[in-house]
Amino acid sequence: MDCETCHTAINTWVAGQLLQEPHTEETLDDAVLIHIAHCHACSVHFAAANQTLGITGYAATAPADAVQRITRAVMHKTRKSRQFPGGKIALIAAVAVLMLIPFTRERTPFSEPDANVQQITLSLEAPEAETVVVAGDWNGWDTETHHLAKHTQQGVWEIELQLEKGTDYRYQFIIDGKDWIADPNAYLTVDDGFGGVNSVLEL
Amino acid sequence: MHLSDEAAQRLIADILQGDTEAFAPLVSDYTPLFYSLHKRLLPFDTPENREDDVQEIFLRIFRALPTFSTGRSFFSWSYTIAINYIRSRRRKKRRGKQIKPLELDDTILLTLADTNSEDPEEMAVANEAETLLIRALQEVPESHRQVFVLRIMQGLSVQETSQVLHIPEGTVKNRLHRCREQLARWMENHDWQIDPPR
Repeated sequence: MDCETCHTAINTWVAGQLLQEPHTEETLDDAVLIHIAHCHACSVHFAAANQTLGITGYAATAPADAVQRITRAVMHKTRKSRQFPGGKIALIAAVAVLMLIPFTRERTPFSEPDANVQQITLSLEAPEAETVVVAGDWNGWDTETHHLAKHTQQGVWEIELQLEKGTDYRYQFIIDGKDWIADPNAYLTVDDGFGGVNSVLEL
Repeated sequence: MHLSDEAAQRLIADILQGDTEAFAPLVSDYTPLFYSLHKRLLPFDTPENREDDVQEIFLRIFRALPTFSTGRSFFSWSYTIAINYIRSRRRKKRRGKQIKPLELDDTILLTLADTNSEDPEEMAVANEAETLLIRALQEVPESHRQVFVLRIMQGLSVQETSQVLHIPEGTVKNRLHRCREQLARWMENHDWQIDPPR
């Protein structure tokens, strides 16, 4: 069988199927099916015919990395939108100081320092804040885990973190559970994709 | 397989009681549905725009959650928001510039067709066929294309398609039948190829 004969047979079959609702069990001749099995162009034709008629199913898919990106971005935005009812964002005077502190903690004789981990201190001056939390790439932008502690009468909040070296981390502070701000003194910021900025920590 | 409506409604109840994190499983579960819907209705958009649009769909769903009434199908309700947004995007694109000649290339091969097969040849055939179909769909009226994409490609029932598009079930069946005829006619005229031999 040649391709032209096969195409004619498929077209005739499609025309017949279109006249029937629901589709009939009528199939193509064995000779046509054998040709389709060995001819790429005719197999595409037959597959397209089946898809047109709705006989073949379709999958709903998205690249796995796209699903992760979309979920992360949406959740980041929804957390922020919940924190900003009415779009009113209180501007809090805050001065943050990022200090990279060498790993100076006294070690026990049996513990080896992890060369891949660096201890850092994040600080934020927010005298009127009740709570300050930092959320970033290292904790999946979790707003519950990393609370800063108020260390001075001047209202400086601090937290020590041990983060893996060789990575860039984006982060923001959350004040009183509702106001998201970038680190004002971070030397590097990037667009967060939602009209704001993330601070960037390079280790 | 997406979450059942019962599971979705439990998550929505949690969200409305303040547990914003309960939105995450809904987003990750429904992303493949809306990503593929977008790809089938706006096949020539860039992957970056596609991701931005799907994000925006979920943000609109999130903002609209307080208006969601329990007992209604979350599946149909969210699809309505999704397709309304994609329609608006399509209108904007049409206003913004002349529609360029439609040319499919390797970068927009869809890899969406469900062949239930791991055979590379079968998958290649299914992908080529769907790419051809997407090309042919550009030639049918938008109202017919939306019915075909929802009912046949996205797998919604006639009733669900009717609810999402706010048209009677009879209209769904009628547009679907006419769309199939138009698709078959276009493909026959083009020898079932994107670029028929001259």
